[in-house]
Amino acid sequence: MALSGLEIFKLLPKTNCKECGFPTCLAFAMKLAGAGVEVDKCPHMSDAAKETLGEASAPPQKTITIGAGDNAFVIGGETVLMRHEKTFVNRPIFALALNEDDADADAKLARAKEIKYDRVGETMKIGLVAVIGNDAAKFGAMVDKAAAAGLEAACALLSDNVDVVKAALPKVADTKPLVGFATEANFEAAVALAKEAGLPLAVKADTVEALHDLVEKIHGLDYKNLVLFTGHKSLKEELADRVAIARAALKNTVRPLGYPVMVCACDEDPYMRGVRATLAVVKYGALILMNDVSYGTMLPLFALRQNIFTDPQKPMRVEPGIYPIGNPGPESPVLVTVDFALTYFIVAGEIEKSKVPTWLLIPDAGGLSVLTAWAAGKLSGSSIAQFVKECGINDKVTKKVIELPGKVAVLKGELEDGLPDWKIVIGPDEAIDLPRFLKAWDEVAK
Amino acid sequence: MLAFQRPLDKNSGKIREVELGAGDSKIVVGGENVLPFYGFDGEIPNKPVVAMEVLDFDPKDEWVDAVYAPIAAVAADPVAWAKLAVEKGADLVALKLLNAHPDRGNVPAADCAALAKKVAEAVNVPLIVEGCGHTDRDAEILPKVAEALEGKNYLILAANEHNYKAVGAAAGLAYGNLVGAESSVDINLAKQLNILLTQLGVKEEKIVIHPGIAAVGYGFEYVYSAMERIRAAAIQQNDKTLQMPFVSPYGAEAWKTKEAIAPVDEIPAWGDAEPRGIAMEVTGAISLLMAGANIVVLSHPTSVATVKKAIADLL
Repeated sequence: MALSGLEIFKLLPKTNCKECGFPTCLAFAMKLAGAGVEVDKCPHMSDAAKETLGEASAPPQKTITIGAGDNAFVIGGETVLMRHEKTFVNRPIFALALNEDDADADAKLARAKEIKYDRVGETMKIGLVAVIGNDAAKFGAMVDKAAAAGLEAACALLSDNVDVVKAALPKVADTKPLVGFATEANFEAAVALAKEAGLPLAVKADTVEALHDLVEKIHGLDYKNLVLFTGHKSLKEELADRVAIARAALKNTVRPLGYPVMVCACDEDPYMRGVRATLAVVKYGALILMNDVSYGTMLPLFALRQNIFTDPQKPMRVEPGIYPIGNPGPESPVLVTVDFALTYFIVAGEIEKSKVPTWLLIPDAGGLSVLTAWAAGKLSGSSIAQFVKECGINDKVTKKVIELPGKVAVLKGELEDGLPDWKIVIGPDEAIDLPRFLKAWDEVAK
Repeated sequence: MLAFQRPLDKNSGKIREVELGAGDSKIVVGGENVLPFYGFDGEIPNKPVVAMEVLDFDPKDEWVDAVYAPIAAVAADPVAWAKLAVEKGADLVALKLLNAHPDRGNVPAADCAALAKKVAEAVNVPLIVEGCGHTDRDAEILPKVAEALEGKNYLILAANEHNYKAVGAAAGLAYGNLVGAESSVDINLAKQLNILLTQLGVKEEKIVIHPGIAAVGYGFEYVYSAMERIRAAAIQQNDKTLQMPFVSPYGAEAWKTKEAIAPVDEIPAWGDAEPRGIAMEVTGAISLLMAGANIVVLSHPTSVATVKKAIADLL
């Protein structure tokens, strides 16, 4: 539980020595309570007090790393229940989960490997392959198969039998896999295995209550590199479990539940699988196992994850540059908009709908919408002119006619001054009117 | 060792129960005093419902095959289309009067109203009637639609800040229907429009909030967070001006995205368009439901069925 400034003050030497950089111990305590300074700044605090404070000031949900090198993924570390309260920080991992008996494993691995999708500056892929089972021979064979498939992904070895995991671990130890499951029956052996290899450990119990008690025992063994799992249940029960865990951790600082949560989105119907994964993305899932993956299911999930895990205080931006839409040529229309991702998507979508091949120019406008960028001085006649001169569009078109968004028609004169070789035309105020505008381009551009 | 207890939230506010339709086919939405599907915290007396979209023209040239094929046989006849929607399990029919748009034919208000009436008479579920999205035309046609559906208690979509007087007065006051109050993805705008409508005399239980819409991947985070904020204000801070249910017309948005409509020969790796489009609809609808949507409007029958199944499993 977080301590108040006064509670912290009681743990300090109260000498007002100023070595921490603050005028009094009380001032330092207040700053500590607001997490504005490190505990270590006070050189005179007792070790016991430091431990108490360090424990109290630890983040409410631990950040856990699964995998190694380029395929290391960080999950957990969330501090809020709703993204608008601050932001969600670590995107969940989408994983392919293979049962040791899975006859379609080869095809599933091939599909998973094929998924690689660039969306607004982010490469999206299947981040992890998990093998699940309890038969050492079959399990090992499936781990071999998964490793041989050559996915750029982390790995998880999940069995109720620690010996099965132990036997397969050497095959993939260098990938720093997630291992599990630690259960009530085997947690001592499971912790020993994970601890020795320094690996994250998946802890499984049927209920949140049992999970809480089990993690307390694992804490007793001094292991805190954990991922939580309460099994595959109805959508209602799974949601209730995740909300209980997230609330306990983030609102009440219940340490045994302060870990990222694994979800098993394993359904035969791909659409229901998508439902389960969707619920996990919006509500507190951090590692999402799916029994099969395809572009069809994953495209919306990637897009949703990107949206939900965008910092609400920092708008999504697209890279400034020339965006050719529909294979434009030297006589095609040239349009200007801004680098705010939402604006870009809407404008690009309407251009695609018009089926008129078009050059779309995106200058740096601070990631703001057209009007906001203009009001903030990030989009001006001279900044657009400068961009047109430098971006290379001059070499791509012979017909030098450029459209200026209707909302900033006021920039026309300044832009004409900056681009004497170009004809400037005013476009519509709203993107939805672009198709009509583009279809009449020849008339407009005369 | 202290036994762990699940933390529960008690909320001071509650979403208003809103009735759609009347008699045997009446549907009630809202009434929950908890965040979406958080039944462990309190009461969810009514489940969210799913409407299926019906257009007033044959969208053969505008819809991709993946979403057109299931309705192809009835596409030219809105009445048959509405009946198919009900057969496919839709709780409501959402009739869109797109032909009223000046770009599409400017169909006279009387024709729009007549069509709405014909569809209403053909099915035994409540109707949502959506305008064409053109503020002035909607101000003209929606009052006529409300009049033609007098006393039906159907949802007229939508009144915005510019035409709320015409649409709100007709639907919510004169002719005994419900008003969809559409604002653009902002808690304060939603609140303001609700206040304007109630000042006009529309009763709170005759208002449904349309908080704006965007497709997953296309600005959806704004819609999602605006809805979460509105719902949190309604439930946790007991803000009475925001305690109306939400309607989210989503299907048409999903089927505009590249993910849903890119032809398979353009991006072969993505595979057939149908599963992509349905997944776009389902993922968006489920996220909207988790943000508080009480009514979602979808286009593909498989999406309708999947989302209904998910709602049942979530309650």
